[in-house]
Amino acid sequence: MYPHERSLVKRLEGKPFALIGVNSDSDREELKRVLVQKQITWRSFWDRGKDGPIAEQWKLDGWPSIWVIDARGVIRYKDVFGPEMDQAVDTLLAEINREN
Amino acid sequence: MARVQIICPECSAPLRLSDEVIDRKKVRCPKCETVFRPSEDNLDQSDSALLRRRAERSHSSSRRSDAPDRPGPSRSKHKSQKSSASLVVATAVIGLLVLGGVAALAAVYWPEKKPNQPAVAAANNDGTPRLPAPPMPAKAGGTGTEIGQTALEIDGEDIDGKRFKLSDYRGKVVVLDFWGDW
Repeated sequence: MYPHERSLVKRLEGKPFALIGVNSDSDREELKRVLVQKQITWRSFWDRGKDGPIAEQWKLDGWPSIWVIDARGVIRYKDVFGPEMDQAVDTLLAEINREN
Repeated sequence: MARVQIICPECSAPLRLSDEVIDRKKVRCPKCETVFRPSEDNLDQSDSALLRRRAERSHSSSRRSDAPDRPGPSRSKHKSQKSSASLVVATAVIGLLVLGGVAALAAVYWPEKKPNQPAVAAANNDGTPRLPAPPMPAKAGGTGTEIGQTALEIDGEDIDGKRFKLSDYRGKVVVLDFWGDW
């Protein structure tokens, strides 16, 4: 998972795109070590554990879970992984260009 | 998306889950709190609808590994022939499971790659082809967590305790990724 996300972030550097995590680990200090060790450069909300308030509000059914949100804040795809994630993001980036 | 019954490997509690999570996500048992990745091993075997879908998937993956091409299970639409039709489907399912098993064995014993394999670009990790759902047209769907809705606001803290909001990223395409390192 991490290498793919890293390459997505790198590929879209400078584009109107952001990868935002919601992390469900409970140990904050351990998590900080993981971020360095696994080169997780993108920003995450910290949800304080598997029962966190964000996971509850978003009715999370497991990990990993993906939501792809367009530039207007509308949810457009759910649980797209691998090449599909890239495809979904590219589709929505193209949409911004069409609107401008 | 269909819901299926999964048995917790730790405490044997039954969990009703979307079949989408099988082999793809980790879930937490609400009873004993164990986090595990549901697989076919945890599947309640009485769930025939799921078994049928799994058989169809194993059919498509056996095609991918260059197994002999055979017609798939044809689901009869005639209600009057329902019982005989389901017998046919059941037979086909068993046949496909055997075929899938043979294909898996073949993959183990003859792992060399054929030059003309289909590109993996349009496939999931488990080899099933899957294209993204067509984007929903822009319309007022309210706020929530479903496709077509404005994403529910998240107002929280990052790992360093710095506060930020999901809506800070309005104007950008956002991949919101729920993750954990365990």
